[in-house]
Amino acid sequence: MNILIKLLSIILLFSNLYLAISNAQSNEKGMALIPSGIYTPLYTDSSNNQSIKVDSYLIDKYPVTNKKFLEFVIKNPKWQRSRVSSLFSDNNYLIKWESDTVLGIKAAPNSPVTNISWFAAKAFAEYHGKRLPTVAEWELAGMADEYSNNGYDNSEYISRILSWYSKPSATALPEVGTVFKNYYGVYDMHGLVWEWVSDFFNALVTGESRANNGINRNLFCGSGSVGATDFKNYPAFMRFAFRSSLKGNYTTDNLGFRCAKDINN
Amino acid sequence: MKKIMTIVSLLLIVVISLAYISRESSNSINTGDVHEAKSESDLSSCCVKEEQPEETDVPPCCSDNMEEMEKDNFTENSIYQVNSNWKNQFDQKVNIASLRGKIQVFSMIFANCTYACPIIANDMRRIEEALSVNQLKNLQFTLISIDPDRDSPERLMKFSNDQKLNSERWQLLTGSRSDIDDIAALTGFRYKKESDGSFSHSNIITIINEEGEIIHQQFGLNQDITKILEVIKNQIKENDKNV
Repeated sequence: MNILIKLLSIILLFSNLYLAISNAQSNEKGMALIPSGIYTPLYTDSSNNQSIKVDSYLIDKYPVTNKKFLEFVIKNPKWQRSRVSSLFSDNNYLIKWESDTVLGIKAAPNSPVTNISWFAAKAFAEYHGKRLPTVAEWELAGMADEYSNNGYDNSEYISRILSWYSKPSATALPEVGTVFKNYYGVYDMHGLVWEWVSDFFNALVTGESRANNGINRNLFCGSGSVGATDFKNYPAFMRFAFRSSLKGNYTTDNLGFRCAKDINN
Repeated sequence: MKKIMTIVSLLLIVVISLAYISRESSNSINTGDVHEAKSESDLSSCCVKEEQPEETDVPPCCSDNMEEMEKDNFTENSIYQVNSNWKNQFDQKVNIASLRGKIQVFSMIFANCTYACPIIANDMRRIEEALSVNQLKNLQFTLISIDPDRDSPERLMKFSNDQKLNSERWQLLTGSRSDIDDIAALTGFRYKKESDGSFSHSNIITIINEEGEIIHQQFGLNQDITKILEVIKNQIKENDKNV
């Protein structure tokens, strides 16, 4: 009896320890856990099922703010506006900022940082031991509306995203956390800024390896919807088109980012 | 006996309640409402480590020393500024900067590719065959793998042998996903992993000058190589003039 109780308590102790550790992992400060799920890319080769299983991962609850990016460039001067290589960022890099290390009136501290290149976003993420989310990861988190992990079944959600896409960007961006909080506790996935993904260059490639890049133009210009999986989801077409127009050093005033992280990191 | 049981049960209660408290407190962070979430601490989304910077957490690319080195060494448009490390088909370490000094005929492939990549390698070999031994002294042929999970140095060596690539002029490199993505983004190379483990990808041959600047790109497979040869020969002449 005595031994049994001892054994039980040891087992309990270890299981609790395990619980505490796994909790700590998923509770990275400021990040939300996205459970594993299935993402179906917009364009698929009809000959095989291309649904992608996305492993569970952590994503920042908010887009990265001007303030946080300022702290980063102060510690990493090579990413300051006057010092960044043109290879890694075009001329509009951080253009709303007053100077290399002063935000000024056009860049509110708690608004999302924009005019940021993929290289700069990636460097920020790596500096913090994180990475950018993949298209599949971002889209999985972006599917959730306020009430469920798949808001795309809800036509109101799609039309809300669409109405944001059709509005011109506000000159002064609102603060992060002001648009909406989704099912996972992630804010502003739609409605604030467009966001960089690690593999933005994966758009518009289907078929490319089998012929020359002429096929891509066909895919993009009209015959594209032939292979599409979700005709209703017009916003997804727009994100697809937007990503396919990007290059690593591009910056625009409505393109920001947030970071992601593996769970067992 | 009774004493022991009491101690054990007390211990159990303490352990369980401790675990409960830790769960509760962490849950409250996770489900914090809008107001709470907008507080200073929560807004530091990406910046957990920033508050207590540790020397070891700073990637080499971010340190000031490296920055000075980069500025001193490379031209504004040199893609070798990425400062990444690779392994070649001989399992030797290769820093990207070691590509400097030769004109690079460059592309990206994966060894298990059955269609496009052997054609790309063949297109590059056609360039090699069209040049004299003297001209080839200024050239290196480099292929970077986009499939680091499967393309070990041995696998790349096999690809090299299968394609009959001359290892004196050809190097095949494998590295980390992040470093591969840097090169892909810099050379405008697009790729996507398919569900069967293969990749859809651009077919681009890029000519990079001695400083690491992209001077020409040829798109597509089985293209006429007249233009690309002209670019290479002009670059060789240009270099000879400068010597």
